[in-house]
Amino acid sequence: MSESSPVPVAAPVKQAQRPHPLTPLAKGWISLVAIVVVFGQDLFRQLSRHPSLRSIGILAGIVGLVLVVSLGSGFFTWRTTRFVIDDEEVRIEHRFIHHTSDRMQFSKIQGVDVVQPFAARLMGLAALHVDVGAGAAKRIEFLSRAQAYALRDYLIARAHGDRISLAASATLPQADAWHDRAVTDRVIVAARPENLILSSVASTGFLVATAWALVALVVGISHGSLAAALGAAFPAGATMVSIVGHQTIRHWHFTLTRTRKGLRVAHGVTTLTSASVPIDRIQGVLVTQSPLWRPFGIHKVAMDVLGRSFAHERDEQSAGGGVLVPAGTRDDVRAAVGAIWPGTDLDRVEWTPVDPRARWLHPIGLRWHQWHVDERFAISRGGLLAPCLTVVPHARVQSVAIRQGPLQRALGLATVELHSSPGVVRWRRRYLDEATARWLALSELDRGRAARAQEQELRRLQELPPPRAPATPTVGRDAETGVRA
Amino acid sequence: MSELPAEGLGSLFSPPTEAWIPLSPRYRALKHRMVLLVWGCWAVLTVVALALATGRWWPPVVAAVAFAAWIAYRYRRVGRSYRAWGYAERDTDLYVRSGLLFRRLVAVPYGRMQVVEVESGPIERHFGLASVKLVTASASTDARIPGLDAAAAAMLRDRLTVKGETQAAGL
Repeated sequence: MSESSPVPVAAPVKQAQRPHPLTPLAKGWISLVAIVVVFGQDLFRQLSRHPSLRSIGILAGIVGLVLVVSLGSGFFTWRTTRFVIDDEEVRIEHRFIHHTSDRMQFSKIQGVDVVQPFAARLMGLAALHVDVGAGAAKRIEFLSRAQAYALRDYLIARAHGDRISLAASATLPQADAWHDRAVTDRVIVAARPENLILSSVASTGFLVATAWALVALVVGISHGSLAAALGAAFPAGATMVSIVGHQTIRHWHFTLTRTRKGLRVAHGVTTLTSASVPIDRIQGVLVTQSPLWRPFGIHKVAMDVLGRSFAHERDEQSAGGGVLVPAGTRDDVRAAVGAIWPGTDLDRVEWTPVDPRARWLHPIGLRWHQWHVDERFAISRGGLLAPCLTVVPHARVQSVAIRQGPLQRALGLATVELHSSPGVVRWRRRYLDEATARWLALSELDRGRAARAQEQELRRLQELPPPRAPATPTVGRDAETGVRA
Repeated sequence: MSELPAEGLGSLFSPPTEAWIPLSPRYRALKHRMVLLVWGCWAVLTVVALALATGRWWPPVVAAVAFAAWIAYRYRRVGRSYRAWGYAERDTDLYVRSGLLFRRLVAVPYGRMQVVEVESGPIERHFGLASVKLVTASASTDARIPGLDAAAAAMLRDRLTVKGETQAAGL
């Protein structure tokens, strides 16, 4: 966890670093772009209605003011921000208006994201978001891209318990600038552009907008007024463009990569985000397919990670962190799931059907409702039009519930739920016969205990000292005591 | 210890131990009182409003009869829904059963409990009751045992906390 104290404790004299000097410029640009995006349309409309020198002057004044204020505050924030990342500690200090000093333990770091908004990217800058599993990620804005990648690699290595020194970490293969991929990295899933575009075109929102546009055009033209038709069709067209644009811009170049230390997800056209995937903390996986994706065989894979709120990140478009595969084929799905849980193959699951009496409640597509339980996972799937498959590892199940409403009771059926931490994954298997439901629910607790015990045993074995001393033992030991002190 | 309710909940919701531990009988008294109070208020309001609005004699009378029947039904239902509640402690997990129409059995391993909360509102306090709520890392766990004796609730909380600590599992 991080400690915050209003007055930073006098630490031993250290080389505290400042973010990159171009930071205020990048921040100013970003806030300017934000203003233009939010108010741009309105202003443009105003200007085109009353094009006068005065309104242009007012506009320029507003833009100038915003720029000056954000540059100024950016400058002072930059002046007063310092960080220390060395062999002993990670510390970020802000001393602008609020004085904060955040110090993080290496072992508590859950993930490190490198985020490059468009403006920063052009200047070769990148922000470092350090996720400590609770609260908002701690940020360092901005660093040079190479430094951000290097520090990210170092922090992740330390978070995994490697007692590597910063200097030694710098000698390892570095990631290249555009795709954030080092020579030793292996791409597992790369989203193909055509799939991304298809997935957004074959979405309900897009089709509704298309229908609207077509109706507007046909009605307008049949009344002989092309201008009115275009006017009515314009908003629908804008919606279509924004739906496709949003999905493609956010997930362009989406890659799931295996690095030396775990997995990494990188994506984005303007803002390039590169996030590490903390495999230990994945609580469950959800594979979905919207009805219109079916002919193209496109699936989406999302995951829940404990303590990371992807909903928040989605707002600022910084990370699609919860997404493992934005739009991919069956092979992509299998590769992604196999990457986070080696040895798992969703195509080779031996499914158990639900009780056939459920056809009275669910006449169509009941045979797609299936489930499977082995010693590691509970898997449930269902849905004819919108298939949806959820996987939850037994070791991540928090509690279990059996539910039965009046209709299921009349047929002797019941629903079993496995509760995991909040997110997109909700494991539920309806239409089980009562005996199976009872067995599944009550034995799940034992399976969970067994899986957790096995996991702990594995972790204990990993934490045992290696048979040979590492290359830089002294630095490592000192670093460890330094953190504890 | 109580035997299974008369209508029987089937083996699906039968106790994992010998029997479900029932809630405090005072919880049933509280619920009875609340049914009379809440629906009684609604009944009086509706009857008065109907009498004033229509100015005839029969709408308020019909409403009063309907409300009387409804209150009698709810009053009887309290007993059945009270018997549907129950909890059971085993070596490693806590089980809570509830619901009459929509039945639910939730099982929480002690090791998964983050917090055990004891809550008591003003009405519950008046009856000397408290509810125990188990919080895990999952928002959907929703394991709450209402209407325990305040002392029993505190003891249950302490027992659960001790077991939770000794069996604690990581996230």
